Amino acid sequence: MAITKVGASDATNSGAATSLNRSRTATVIGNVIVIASTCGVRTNAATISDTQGNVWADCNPDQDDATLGVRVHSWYCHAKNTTATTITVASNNSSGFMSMVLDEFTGTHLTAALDQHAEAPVGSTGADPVSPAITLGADNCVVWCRIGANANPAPALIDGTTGTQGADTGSNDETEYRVLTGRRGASVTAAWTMLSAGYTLFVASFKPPLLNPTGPFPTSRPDLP
Amino acid sequence: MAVVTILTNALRDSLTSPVFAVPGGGPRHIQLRMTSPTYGADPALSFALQVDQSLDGGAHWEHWFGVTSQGGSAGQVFRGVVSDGLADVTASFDGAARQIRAVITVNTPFVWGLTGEVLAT
Repeated sequence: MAITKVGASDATNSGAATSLNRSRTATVIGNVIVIASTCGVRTNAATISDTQGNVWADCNPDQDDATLGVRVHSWYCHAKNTTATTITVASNNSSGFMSMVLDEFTGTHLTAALDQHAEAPVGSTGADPVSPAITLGADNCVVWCRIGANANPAPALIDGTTGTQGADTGSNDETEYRVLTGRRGASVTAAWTMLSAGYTLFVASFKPPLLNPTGPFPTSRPDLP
Repeated sequence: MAVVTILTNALRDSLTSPVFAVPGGGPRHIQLRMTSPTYGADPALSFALQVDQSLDGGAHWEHWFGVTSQGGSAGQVFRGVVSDGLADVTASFDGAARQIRAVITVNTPFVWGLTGEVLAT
C-alpha cells in the first residue's frame, strides 16, 4: 500500500498563547502524526503531549533562531489508538505568538517510520528557500516539509515536482508533502518561491514498511558456527 | 463572513459561550479573538479557551481545539507586528459545516469578550 495523507490537516495559531491544543482521531493504528510548532518567545523549548499517551519523538529537533526571533520544533508519533486524543504543544514560556501544524499519513512503517530529516540553518534568509538535501534511505517515502515565514509561499517543489499542501495556518506556517516512487538513495530537497527574507525550514522523509527488502544477501552467516 | 460578536465585552467570569454556526464550504480558517481592555497589560491574568464542535446540530459535542494564554504580553513584537497581548486563535477546518461553542475559564475575573470570524483563506 502506498503512503497517503489521511484526514484534514490541522493548523492553529494565536497572537498570544502559552499552549495550543488540537483534537485528532487517527484512522489506523500506527499512522504517523507529525506536528511542527513555532514559538515567538524563545526562553524555553516547546514540549508536546497528548491525552492518549502516544510516544512523541523528535522529527526535527528544537531550533532556537535568535535572528528570526522564533523557536521551532517538530515531532512525530505512531498513533496507538483510533479514538480521539487531544494533542497539546506547550511553549513553556510567557505568552507569545504560537502555531502548530499537523499532518497524518497512513501506509508508513508502523513502528519506525522516520527515515531522514534536515533543518535549514538558523538565521536563514532569501527569497527562494531550499532545504538541505536528505538522502532517502528507502523507496516510496513521503517527503514532508514545513516552512515558517512572514508570507504565504507558493507550493513547494519536492524532488523537483510540485508537492501538495498539508497544514496551513493561513498566515505564517504551512506544510507540504509528496509521496515518491522509488528514489532510495536519491538526494532530495524541498524548494519554495516566496517574497519573504527570513524563514525556518524543516524537511523529513517517512518510509513505508519494508515488505520486500532489497540489497545484497550476506555471503556468510557470521551468527552460525 | 463578517466578524461576529459571540460574547460582548462585558463579562468577567468563566462560562460557556452561545453556539456559533460555521457554514460549510471550501477549506477555511476560523478566527476566535478574545477582547479585553485590561488583559494585555496585566500579567496576573490568564485564561483557557476550549472550543467544542458539533457535526450533528448540537446533539453531540466534542473537543476541537484550544489555547491557554497569560496576560501582560502587550507590546511584544513578532515578525514586525506589535501584539496587543490578546489571544486571537486561527484554526483550520475541513470545510464541513458545524456548530461550535467556546468554554472559557479565567483564573481571576476580568472584563472580556469574544468574537468569531470565518476567514476566506
